[in-house]
Amino acid sequence: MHQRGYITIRLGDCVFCGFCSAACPCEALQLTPEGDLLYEKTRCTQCALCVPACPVCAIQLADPSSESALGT
Amino acid sequence: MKTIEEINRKIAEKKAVVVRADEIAELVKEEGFANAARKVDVVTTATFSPMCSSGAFLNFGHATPGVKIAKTFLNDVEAYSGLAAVDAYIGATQPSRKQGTRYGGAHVICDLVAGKPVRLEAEGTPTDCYPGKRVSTIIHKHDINEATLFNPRNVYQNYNAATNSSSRKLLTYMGTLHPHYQNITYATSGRLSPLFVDPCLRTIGIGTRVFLGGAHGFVAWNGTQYQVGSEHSGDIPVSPARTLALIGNLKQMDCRFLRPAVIQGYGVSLFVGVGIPIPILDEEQFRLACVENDQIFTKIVDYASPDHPEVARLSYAQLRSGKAPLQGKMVRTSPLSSLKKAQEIAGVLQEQLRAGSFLLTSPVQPLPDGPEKIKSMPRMEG
Repeated sequence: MHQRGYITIRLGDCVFCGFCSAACPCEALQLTPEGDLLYEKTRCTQCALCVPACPVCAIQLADPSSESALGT
Repeated sequence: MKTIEEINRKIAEKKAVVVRADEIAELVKEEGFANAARKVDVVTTATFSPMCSSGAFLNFGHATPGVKIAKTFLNDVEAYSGLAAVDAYIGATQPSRKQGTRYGGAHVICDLVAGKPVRLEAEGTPTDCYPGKRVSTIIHKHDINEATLFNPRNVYQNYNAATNSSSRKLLTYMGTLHPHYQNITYATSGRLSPLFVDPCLRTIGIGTRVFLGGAHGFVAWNGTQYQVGSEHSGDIPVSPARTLALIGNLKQMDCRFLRPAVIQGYGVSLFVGVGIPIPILDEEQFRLACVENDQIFTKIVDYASPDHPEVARLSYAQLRSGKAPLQGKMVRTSPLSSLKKAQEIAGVLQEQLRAGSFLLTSPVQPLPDGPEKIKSMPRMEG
């Protein structure tokens, strides 16, 4: 079953491809023109559709008790 | 006018002037076109994209008693065994028997590169010369004789961007395509992409040394689905055209530049990092290398229709900006090819050339000037 929630992005595993950005329906995840990944939490609706869309498993559901953010 | 030999002498003396393709515009602004053209010896280009047309030839060495392997499984992923007794080809997209597309050939390849143990299970067809029936063992990259990465096709010269006219979301190898033309996905590193910088393959041919997955590999042949007759805008085709077949020693590769991918709704693939040095032999080569994203166009095609009709045409400058016009509105654009990794690879190659540890090769044969157009599979009769 698909779970919802805020996400954590492990930047060490991220390849900055953009599959997550394509999956995100609310434009919370975007690749900048320079190729960096931008996560705007204020836009995030916690749908977590980016989690299965990430081809390298760099995005995970965040621990609900912690603040989600870009990780390392 | 310079020759490859002259540039190689400068590389060996650590005096070569090497710039990344995405740094040229700044250099031209500072020095002027003619000065910059004279000064630059090599331009580095790169790409880092999922490339399904990937796999590895492996030779396991002979067992005792010998086994003529007919079926091979590596970590439960089947490798093609219709080769010699202990040779196999593990394809990147092959799914695991038990895990399906959560683990596949690309993962096996990367586990080998990482030095992890891989379980080999094989069944043989007993013969007088190979009496053994099966093999079950653990292999590492250092235990096996050869591990050779081979891309039948890589480094696409342009690729159609994707959108979706239908009313349902599509999960494709081009990523998630939202309904009613809500987004576009595209797959290239734009002006850093090798075959945009040398669009007519003046310097790239069979035998060209390249950076492949962290090692030094070579252009082995033209890639599959190679075609030269695609419509052009300026020097550059606006749809898929030339491709390269690449080969390199998997044992020397690096997990930073070779990554397994699981594409939702599609399956397993392999991100392959490729870097190609473009020698600046003359002013014309430099002019070609100065290409900018606003001069490179691609077709936007509709994945909701089986024949993928063109619905728009946009430049990579527009696509890279994050929003582009489609069907009368501005829609979100997402890359599927990593610009950041491509920049990293172009930078590593630049450093190797500056340090004298990567020498250029002259092609032993140019790549073909045809066919004009690739063939489609014949329709089934009846």
